[in-house]
Amino acid sequence: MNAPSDPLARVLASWQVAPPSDPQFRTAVWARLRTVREQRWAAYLRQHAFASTAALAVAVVTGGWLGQWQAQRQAARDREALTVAYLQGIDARYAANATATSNPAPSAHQHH
Amino acid sequence: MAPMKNFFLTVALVLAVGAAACAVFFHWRCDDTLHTAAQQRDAMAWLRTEFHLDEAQVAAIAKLHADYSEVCAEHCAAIGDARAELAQLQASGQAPTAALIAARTRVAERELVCRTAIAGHLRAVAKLMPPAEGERYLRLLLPRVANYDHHGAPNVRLDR
Repeated sequence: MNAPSDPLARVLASWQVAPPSDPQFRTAVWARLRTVREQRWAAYLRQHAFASTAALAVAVVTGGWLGQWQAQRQAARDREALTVAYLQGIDARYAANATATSNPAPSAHQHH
Repeated sequence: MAPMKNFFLTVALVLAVGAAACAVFFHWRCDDTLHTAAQQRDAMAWLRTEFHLDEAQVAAIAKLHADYSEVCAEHCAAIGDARAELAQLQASGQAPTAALIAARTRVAERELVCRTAIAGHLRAVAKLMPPAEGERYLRLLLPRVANYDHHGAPNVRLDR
């Protein structure tokens, strides 16, 4: 919509780009691509240091919490099993049931 | 492909570190003595570690258990007889209601005697422990003795 006498249009029309000839341009581009492609893992880690460190920290915290949780669950299971085993040893009602089901329970003491 | 390879290597490292942390914390926080006692179903070993008993206390409690075992055997036989009698009546299908009620009452009475004796025994054991541990022992066991459901399988948790 500009008028033919628009100075911007005239400047643009007269603008000519004459980049210096660089015979290594294509080679340089491929070299950069190769660098990225062949980047060593250590360099990759350094390049993503913050994200890698954060991910490792999350892994340690989550793994540690999971390990502790599993240990607590196992301890609760063991404690429950031993409490029942202990009661089976001293509670005649458990023993009477065990006798009735022909499945005698081991006990803190033996009374049969 | 190298950026993807590096990414996956990093993910693998993170997962490996997480798994290692899990294993380390599990072994660090695991109560090996308790677990061994559970595997061997050694209730006395559990009692020793759980309530921090010394050898003299363990020996005294073991003796108390041994003495109580005779009482326990009598109760066991009495309850077994009463239950057998009740089971016979129920199996016959023609037992008079009064006889069934009487048999059930007999079972309940004998179980009450047993429960009362066990509570007394547990209190005697607790007295041999350090006071705080004795209280914890009673808090753990007395409700179970009181709430025991004699129709349930007593060792179902140990069969796992």
